[in-house]
Amino acid sequence: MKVSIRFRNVLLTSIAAGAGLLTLLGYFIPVPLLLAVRMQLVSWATLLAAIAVLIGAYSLIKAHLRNFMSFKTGGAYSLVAVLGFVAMLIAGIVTPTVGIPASAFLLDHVVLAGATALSALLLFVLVFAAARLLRRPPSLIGSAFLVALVISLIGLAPTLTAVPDLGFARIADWIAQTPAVAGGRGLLIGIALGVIATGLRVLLAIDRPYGD
Amino acid sequence: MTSIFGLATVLMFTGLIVAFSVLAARRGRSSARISREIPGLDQLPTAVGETVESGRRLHIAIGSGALGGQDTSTTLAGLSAAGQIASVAVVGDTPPLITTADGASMLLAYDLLSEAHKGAHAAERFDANAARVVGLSPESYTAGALVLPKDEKLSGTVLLGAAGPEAALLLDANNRAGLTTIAGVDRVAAQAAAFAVADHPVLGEDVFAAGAYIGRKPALLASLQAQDWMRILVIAAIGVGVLAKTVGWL
Repeated sequence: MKVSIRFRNVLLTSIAAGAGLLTLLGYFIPVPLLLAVRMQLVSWATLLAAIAVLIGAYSLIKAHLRNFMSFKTGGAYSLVAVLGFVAMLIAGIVTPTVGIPASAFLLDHVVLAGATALSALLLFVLVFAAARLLRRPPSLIGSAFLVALVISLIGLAPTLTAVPDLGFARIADWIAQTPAVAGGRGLLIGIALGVIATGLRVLLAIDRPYGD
Repeated sequence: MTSIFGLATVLMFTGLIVAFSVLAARRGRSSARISREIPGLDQLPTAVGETVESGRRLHIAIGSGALGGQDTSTTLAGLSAAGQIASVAVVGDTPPLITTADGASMLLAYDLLSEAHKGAHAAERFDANAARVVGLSPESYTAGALVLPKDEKLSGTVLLGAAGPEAALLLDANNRAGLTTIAGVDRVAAQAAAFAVADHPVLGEDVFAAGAYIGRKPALLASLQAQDWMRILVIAAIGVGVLAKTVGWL
């Protein structure tokens, strides 16, 4: 069987694995040389990440301009996105040069307001999603999820003096403090193992997200 | 002390991956087996099949994580899975669409798509706009991806990567458009939201196993086995710790 190995692949894999291993060793072994190499590699990565932000912004604006120019439905929203980008860019330049806090103003009154509105929508989406869960075929996890959700909602709701205390608040508190915390920690341990496994896969060149 | 413990963990993990890889290489590709089923990911072949048959695009969302930050591993795991899915989905008339919130991961996604097309001898169908940034923050990413079911002819959305609870909005928009949704995210709150909204949620750390599970390459499956064995070791260590504390040894 003929196995063809491209020089580009070997080079990319060697650079990625070598840089990763040196950074990892610099983290665990406190030798000045390794530490210096690690800091240098991290600063290069930071510089590349900053350039990547510019590339990302370029890609985003290009997509919206194309969308607007092709007169697609919703093209007006793309124009708003482009104008917003330009406004934020100008505000970013104006703020340090003229001394007007335009950037902070736009961030507080437009960006954060929009993000908060989107987060508020999330509540309704989740309530409808919980209702939709009832239409799914019954499962143990789904049932446990719904029971915990209903008890928590009742337990966390404001108490009325006319309604007798059935202990929902205590059960909701127990759910939040005991099984939810235990489950959350279990998930976090699993995620930590997944993070290490993914990193090692890339370091050992088993997984190459930078192309085969 | 922390450094020694960390280094020992990494070395043990590496040793397990190498050992399982050697065993897998000896057994050969034909006998490569997955150590456990991941129900959410079992729906992927159906989703890809629908894409190929309908001539619509599969949306692969990497999430709002960025390379170089705290979400690097999750984003790499998402990219790995995206590469595996893309290598199958490029058989269809329309290439899959990969969305990210970071320029660096967009470049990697572009490279993955390009390689997938070359691998399928379909380089002429490669669309340079199929890997794109739809927003640079978690909220703007969600807002940008929300309109995709209307703007692009999608067949479904696979979200595998870093995302917060706002990902529920993206999944809900797809559900309302009648599209299949498969979602695996890393944050605990986002997992709860994805469980409620997605058609096929991928829970726990299975988002990190997605690439190996889909690709089924012996070396990737070996790393998945190592991950499972490490989990068993951690569970055993917790059990021993609880026992030792209970009987007063600690």
